[in-house]
Amino acid sequence: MSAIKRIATLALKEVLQLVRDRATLGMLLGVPLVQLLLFGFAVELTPHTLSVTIVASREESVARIERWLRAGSFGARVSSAPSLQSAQDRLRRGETLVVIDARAHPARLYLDATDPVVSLHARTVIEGVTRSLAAPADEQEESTRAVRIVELYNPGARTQPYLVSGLVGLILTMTLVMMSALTLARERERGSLESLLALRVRPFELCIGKLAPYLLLGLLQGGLILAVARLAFDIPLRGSLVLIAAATGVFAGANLALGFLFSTLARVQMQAMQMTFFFFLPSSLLSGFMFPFGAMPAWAQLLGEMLPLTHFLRIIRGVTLRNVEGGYVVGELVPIAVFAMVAGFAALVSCRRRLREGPA
Amino acid sequence: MLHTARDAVREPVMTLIAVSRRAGGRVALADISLVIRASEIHGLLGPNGSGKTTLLRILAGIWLPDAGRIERPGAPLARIGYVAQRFCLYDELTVSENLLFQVSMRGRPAASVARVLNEFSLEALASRRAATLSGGERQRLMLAAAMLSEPTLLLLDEPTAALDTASRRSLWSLLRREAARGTAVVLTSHELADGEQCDSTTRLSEGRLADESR
Repeated sequence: MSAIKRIATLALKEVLQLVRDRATLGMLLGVPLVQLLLFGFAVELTPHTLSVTIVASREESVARIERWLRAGSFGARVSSAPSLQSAQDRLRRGETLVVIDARAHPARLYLDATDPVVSLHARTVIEGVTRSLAAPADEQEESTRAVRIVELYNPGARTQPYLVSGLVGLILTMTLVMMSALTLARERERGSLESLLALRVRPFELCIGKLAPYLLLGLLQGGLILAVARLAFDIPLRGSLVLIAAATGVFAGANLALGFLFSTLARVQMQAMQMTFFFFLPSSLLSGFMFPFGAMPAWAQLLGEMLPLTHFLRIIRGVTLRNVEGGYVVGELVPIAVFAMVAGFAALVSCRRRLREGPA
Repeated sequence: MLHTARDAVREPVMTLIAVSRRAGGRVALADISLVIRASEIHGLLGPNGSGKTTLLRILAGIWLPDAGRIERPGAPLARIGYVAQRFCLYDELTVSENLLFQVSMRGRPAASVARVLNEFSLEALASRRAATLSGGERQRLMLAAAMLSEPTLLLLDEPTAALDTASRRSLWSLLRREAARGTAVVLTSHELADGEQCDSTTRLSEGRLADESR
């Protein structure tokens, strides 16, 4: 009886602690809700639209392929390109998934096989296009009956190149946000913030001084993951390492700035960890790491565009698998840099306020 | 008359005029005026929650008052040494690394580290990680860190709270030595015995000045 009473007392104490710890309670109730909404409404495994670029010498050919594509059960976004080169440039930049070169004999279909799930879906569509192109009544030249499909960037649509290259971004997000989120919270929890305040440390000194080592760590970590990916999984590295290093630096900066913001908001390390987890969840689900970005509804894509990981995944996959050029990387780096600046500014304002409040 | 003669020797290093501060929605300090003098050990006494630590942090410049004025004729912020109640240095760093960090942040010459290591008998512990030090050794390390800036004002929050009798004796002798050198020393304590060792005391109660003695 005594043991039961003691267990009940302990349980009551736990309930009181739980109810009064609003951050933990919020996480316990909030995370499942976010998961439910994201999985339920945002995540789709197959895209509803297919972006196709047609290269043809005659307008009728474009119109015929377009008619067929639009008659399908999926929404096709069809455009034409003046040359195969410009169409392939669009393919490399990820602006289109399929290029149909109706001028070639036999006709060729170039498929971006970077994402195995999306490319598998696209192949189903392509087979229909192939049949359409091969219809003898519509084409004068017999050679168009044979169509050659060329899988680009990830021949065989292997899963590993796509997932492992993306893991660089995911691992960096998780570790860097978490590590920087713990920095100031740890100082406060251990009492060393009082010493720093007595040294009259300024917010920007604290922010830069604390995050600089983690920026280097992020670069090192990114390099290590890429090296292991190359050696253990035979992941290609077709683009420039300098571009990857520059992008990793900006991406790491954005994650560190966000983590530091969490650190200024959290009172203890546990809260900082909870905030990190809360950010990590939508990052992994809405960035295109696990599920095709293009398959998500517009609102989810808008949310995804705000996440640094979304843009970094495009960069890392683009550089490693498709050898994208610097202009593409810069275009994707801009939103990451804007995120870094906004998070950094918010972190500095919050840090100033926190330092004014003083030690706990 | 004697009082005036002593005050003439002991120049004010810091003066607080009608200082107030709120914390956590309540008044932590109300209308406190205080003069801290060179070569004097001043005790801020009172029970827990009376506002001692708040006042000490205001003296250290860690917190700003909500109202009132602070004059620092003899204690610029760079020459204030502060020893918190909790150990507030870094466990992962060695004794000398902790001191080098402090010296570098204060913009003082690295040679100061050797000086304080010697002065506080920490040479033998220089390469030991702070985490492995005893309570008394940690206290000495924090004092050594505070002395790196050759302070004109040394502030200590409950310095005797976790010390045994021998360590207390040693601490008091060290504080008297510093005061004799001209340093103004302010410490907080909730023990009357500590007050008796001070040259002057201010007793706080619920954030207000309850009593002063010299």
